[in-house]
This record gives sequence, structure tokens and C-alpha cells, in this order.
Amino acid sequence: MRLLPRISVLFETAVRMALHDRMKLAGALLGVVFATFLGGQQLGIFLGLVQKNTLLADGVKADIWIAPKNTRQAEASTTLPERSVFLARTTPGVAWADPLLFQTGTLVTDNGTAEPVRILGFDASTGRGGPWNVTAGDPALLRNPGTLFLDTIDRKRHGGTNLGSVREVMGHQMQVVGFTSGLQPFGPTFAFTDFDEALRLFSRTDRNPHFVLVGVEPGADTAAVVAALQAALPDSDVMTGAEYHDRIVNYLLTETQIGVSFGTSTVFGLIVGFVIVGLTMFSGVVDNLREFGMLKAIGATTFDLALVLMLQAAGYAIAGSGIGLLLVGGLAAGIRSPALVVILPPWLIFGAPVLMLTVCISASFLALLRIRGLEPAMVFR
Amino acid sequence: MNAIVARNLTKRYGEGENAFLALRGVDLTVPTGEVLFVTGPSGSGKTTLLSILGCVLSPTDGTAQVLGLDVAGLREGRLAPFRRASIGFIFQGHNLIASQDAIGNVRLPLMLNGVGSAEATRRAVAELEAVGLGDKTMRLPRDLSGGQRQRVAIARATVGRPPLILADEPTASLDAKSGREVMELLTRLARERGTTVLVVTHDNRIFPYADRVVAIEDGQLVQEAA
Repeated sequence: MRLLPRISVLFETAVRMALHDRMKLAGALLGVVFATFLGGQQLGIFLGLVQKNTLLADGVKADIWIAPKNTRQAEASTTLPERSVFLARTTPGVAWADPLLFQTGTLVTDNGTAEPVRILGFDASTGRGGPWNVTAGDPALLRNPGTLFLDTIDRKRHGGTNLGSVREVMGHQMQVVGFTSGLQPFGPTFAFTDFDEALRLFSRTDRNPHFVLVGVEPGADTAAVVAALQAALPDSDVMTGAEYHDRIVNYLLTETQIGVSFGTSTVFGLIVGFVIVGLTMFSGVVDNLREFGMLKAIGATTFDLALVLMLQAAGYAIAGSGIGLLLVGGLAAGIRSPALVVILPPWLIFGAPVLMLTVCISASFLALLRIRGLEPAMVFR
Repeated sequence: MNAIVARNLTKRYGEGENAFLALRGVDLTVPTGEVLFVTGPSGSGKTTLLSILGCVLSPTDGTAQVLGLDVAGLREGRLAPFRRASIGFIFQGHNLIASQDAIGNVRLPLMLNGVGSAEATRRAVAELEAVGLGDKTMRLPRDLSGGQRQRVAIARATVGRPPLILADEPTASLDAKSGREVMELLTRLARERGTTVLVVTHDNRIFPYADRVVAIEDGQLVQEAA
């Protein structure tokens, strides 16, 4: 119980000292706010980009994906042989296997403007790999020839499309029978049509899909099915949906400049925050050296004074990251559009204060070293 | 019963050719309840003596018994709680915490010693009333005069009822009237409570408040007068 008043008075001292020098308080907070804001918005935009790139892998409900060898992005660079579908269907543990065509095509608006669309050709008879986030129309209508689903994001760009609108896609007249919402990967929006229709649109003479979607039988071991499929299709990549997602993220992080660019900005923000907070706290200790010396002289220990610094650092971290996150949230809401989504997941919101706490406490070590070497006798000089 | 017994107290700063002897074998005994002034010119060693007896500096040689505890050679981990519980400090420049009001400054040593906030506040207010600042308890140091600040410093030093108070030039930054008031207050509180007080000063105007004055020169006690 004797410890409580001691901690209480050290807490009060820490708060009052921090609030007393408004300029230093503003400086320290600015450092944390800057680090949180820069890091938060960079991570948020990066996560938005990741979400766009993994839209297909996350949206299509399949236990297992079969893709051409070395597929690392959302879009496959080549196609699989048609027999992949049949081989998959005959593999033990497989409940179903359907082809998926994924290719960029063009849609011509009423005024003749050509707009790119990402055409997803799926087996409309089963509906697997078909549209999600449906806002209008019935995906079953895609069993009819010459039909497609577009996304509401590009309604204006596609010339003000409505249900029943007819647009020329890859030289073929296609009727819009439904809409999805928000299905815009990194690039043009998705357009769903039947697999056979997609083959027709691209004038394909083969029936080779870009992917084969696989469902696992209830109770079957997914890993064992993946292994069996990989053995049956050695020239393909077989992976679970989560593995496909991770493969795309890994590609973005390691083989494009995106990861380096966003990572550098985030680390830069943290370094700047660290330096500003560190220097501000050190300067605060130097300015209040006699006060700290007096505290030592009247019996406060180095641990007590370290606690004062830690409490101040924690205060800067919590208040600064709170303000920083509010700003990032405001920015995310302000710039949110189908083309640019800033994602702030709970781990980022709760992780930012923890990270800032680590940064601020680390930054206070310089000040702590100064206090540790402080002789209480200095107050008599 | 003696509050302070120092024998052959020596303090050397630096090494080799740069060595400087601040204290040269000082012997000093201060009976409990005595108000002792240590005087001497600047650089004579009086602040070093005060620092050693205040347990914030270790002697190079000799022994120092403060309130029965042999403090020479004790580690900071042992000395800090001893200072907290047993010694009140009054500094030349008050050394109040600028961001804390008078109550906050006065209750600081109490709470560091484990006294609860409400009790510490009650005692701090009572002590501030005792030093004549009952109407200025919520003032920050910057809103107080030099004399008032030193009264707050006295209240901070005395609020825990420590058996020993050490004061370093407590009147140095005060005018004559304020200096007298501060010393009257300090010595009155000390005598009422039987507190031993050791004051380092070169302000001979306040000598009448001492029970005894000792002079120090070149690190040695050279004169002692009742």
C-alpha cells in the first residue's frame, strides 16, 4: 500500500511536468502523430492495394485453386489444359472442380469509347466462381447466352448501364442482367459471364481455363487433396485459397517496388517519430535537471525517475497515436473510393499505440541515461 | 544523544596531479535538537560537508554517523530511503518543481514516503499554514515571491517531521527582511519539534538564530563559537 502513493505522486509529477512545457509537449506529440499518421496511412493504403490484388482469391469460394505453373499474381499468364478439370474431378477427395477464365477484355460504350473490363468466365450452371456482392439481378440469368454482370462502380464509365442495357464486349453484343458492387481489383472492374460465353468473347477454339476451382468433399483432408492434385497435375500449381492469397501478397512485397516503397515510408515515419520524441524528452530532462536532482536528493530513486520518464513516454505515445489514428481515419474516409481504399484493420488500430509505446519508451532511454548519471549532490552546487 | 558524529571526514575530487582536497579530516559533532550554522568562504568545503552529511555524497575517507547510521560507504539504494524518511532539505535556489503548486511541492516527500494522497494533502495544507502560506496553497512557484518560495521549501523540508534538516544558503537569494523571516520560521519550527538543523551559510546577519556557529576554511574546521 505504501507503493501506491509513491506511484501516484510520480504519475502526477510526470503529467504536470509534461503539461507545463507546452512547446515540448507539442513537439513530442507532433513526432508521435507524424509517425502514426505516416505509418498508418501508408499501411492502410498498402493493405487496400493488397485487398484489391487478392480480390479474386478472397472473393471466389473455392477450397483449392489449380493455376498454371509459377502463377504469382491474381492474373494467370497462361492457361491450363482442359483435361486439368477432368483430372481434378477424378482425384480422391474432390467434391467438384470447375473451370474459370480470367482475362482482360474491352467493352464499347454507346458513344464508341472502349473501356477495359476483367472478364470472369465461370460455369454458370453450377454458379461456382460466379459473382458475389450482387446488388441487382440473378446470377442464374447468366446461363442464358449473351448475358453478363457488370459492376456498379463503372456504370457511368460504361455509358450509364442499367439492367437490360446492351453493350459490345470484344465485338459481341452482351446484355447486362445484373450488377455487383465494389468488385474492382487493381485495374478495371470485374465482368461476369458464363465460361462458354467467355470463350466465345475471346474467340477461343480451345476450352483451356486459367484456373480450376476445386471443392473438397466434406471430411476430406484438404492438405492431402492438394498433394493428390499436385501429383496428378505436376505442371500446375495447386494451392488452397489462403495459400493463393499469401502468394499474391508475397509477390507484391518481394518482387515489386510496392512493398519497399510503403515499407520505407513507414519505417521513415517511425524513425522521425523516434528522433523527435527522443530529443524532446532528452531536452526536457536537461531543462528540468535541477528538479530531477532535487527529487533524487529528497529520496526518489533512479527507478522512480525512470518511471516518471516512462509515464511521460506512455502519455505521448497514447495521446499522439490516438490523434494520429483519428487523422488517418479522417483521411481514409475522405479519400475512400472504389479505386482507392485505405484499410485500417483492428490490429492496426490497436497495434499503433503499442508500437508507438515501444518507440517512445525506446526514445526515452537517452533521457534515462542522463538521469541515471545524475548525482543528487548536484542540487547543492 | 548526537544527531551527527563525523570523524576525520575527508573528500578528494579528481586523481593524481588534478586531485583536490575539499575536506581535510573534519571532526564534527552535532547534538540532537541543535541549530548549527557552518560558515566559510566560497570553496571552503562547507557544501561538500553538507552533501556528505546529507547522504548525497560519499566521503573519500573518515566516518559519518547521521542519526545513528554510519552512512560512509553505503550504497545509494540504502541511502535514498534513509534520506526520504529522515532528512529534510532546503536548497539555495528553493528547487521547487515549477509545474506543481505549493501543495503539490510540499506533499511530494510525504507521498514518496508512502503517505496516502488525502492525508498528504491535509498535512501539506497544515504545514503551509504553519509557514504562513495558508492562502497560497494553490499557487505555482512562479506566482510566489522569493521569500514565499523559500517558505514552501521549508514546508517541504519539515512536513514529514524529519529529525534532521539540512539547509544550503537558505537566505542567499532573499532580501534581509525575508531572510530574517525565513530563519525565524525555520528555527521556530525546529525548536518546537526538537529537530536538528544544520545550515550552511555565509550570511552573518542570520548568525543570531544559531545555537552554535562553526567556520570552515580550506576543508578544515578552523573556528567554533557558541
